[in-house]
Amino acid sequence: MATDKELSDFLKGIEKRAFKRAVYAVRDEDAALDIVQDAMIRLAEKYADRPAEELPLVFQRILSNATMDWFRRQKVRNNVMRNLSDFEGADDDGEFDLLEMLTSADGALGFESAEGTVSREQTLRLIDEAVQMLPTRQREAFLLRYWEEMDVAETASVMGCSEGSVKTHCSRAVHALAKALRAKGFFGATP
Amino acid sequence: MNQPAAHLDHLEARVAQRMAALLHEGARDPGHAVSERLRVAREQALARAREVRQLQTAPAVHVTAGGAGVLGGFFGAWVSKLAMALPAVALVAGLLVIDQQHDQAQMESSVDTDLALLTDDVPPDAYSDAGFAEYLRSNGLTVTR
Repeated sequence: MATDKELSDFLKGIEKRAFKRAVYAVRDEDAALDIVQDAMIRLAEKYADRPAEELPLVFQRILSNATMDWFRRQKVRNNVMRNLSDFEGADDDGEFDLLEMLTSADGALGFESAEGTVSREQTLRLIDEAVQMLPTRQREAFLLRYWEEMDVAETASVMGCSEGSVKTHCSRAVHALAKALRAKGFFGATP
Repeated sequence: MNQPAAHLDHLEARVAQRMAALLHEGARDPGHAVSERLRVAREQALARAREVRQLQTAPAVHVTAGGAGVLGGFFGAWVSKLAMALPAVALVAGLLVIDQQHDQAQMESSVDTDLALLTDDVPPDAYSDAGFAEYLRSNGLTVTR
């Protein structure tokens, strides 16, 4: 059973990222705070007796469910899904070399202020916006896998899908983000 | 698509990690107001967890009809189960009593009828005789059983 301190440390360590994840999903800070609070209370009420090492996985699942519940309550889910699905169709990578684009992105992200024109803050803002524009499933997979640093199996468990789907969502998310950065002139030239 | 798949996967992961590292940086300070609300939410959750733990670990306390408190873990659990089963037991007992009373009432009614027939001056067979029935009707009498 997680002790009071373990639960407190866990929540403290995760709350800001959880808030940001909720903001990406609902695009509203107040709603995101409500969702995080709801998820924290649910965790405390139902899973406080679980061992501390189980808390991250359980909390991510609760946060996903709390976000979905929010959409259900708002009755805008269909609208959001329609808007986000617009981006799914834009996954046409045949026009240019994926490897080249990712290599450029990697280089630009690895060295601060690539080409001396883009500040670190601007880069962050660009990525932030690009993540927000990702389709829901791609964003969830990307954030859980690379932000929360879960492995593929854990991400699949939280998202309720196969490991193959997680890999596909992550791959598409990275390509979409790299494309978005390139479109903003972060690196290379738009073909 | 003739990209070497392993290299592409590796590159994807590295780009993703670099982006995630930047996002980490951005999420570090969401502002004072948000941080405060998150702290309040965390404290509420912790208080709730303490309440739940107390309920789970505290010994059960049951107050009997006479007002006496019964304390205890194992014993308390049995008393609790018994208290939950009590309404069902009372319902079954009530139904059995009603059934018995109904049987008793039927039995008493048939005894009265039998007694009336047997102690009557007229033999029971007379009531099935058409002539006797006509006699009763013509004299304004009715057959009561």
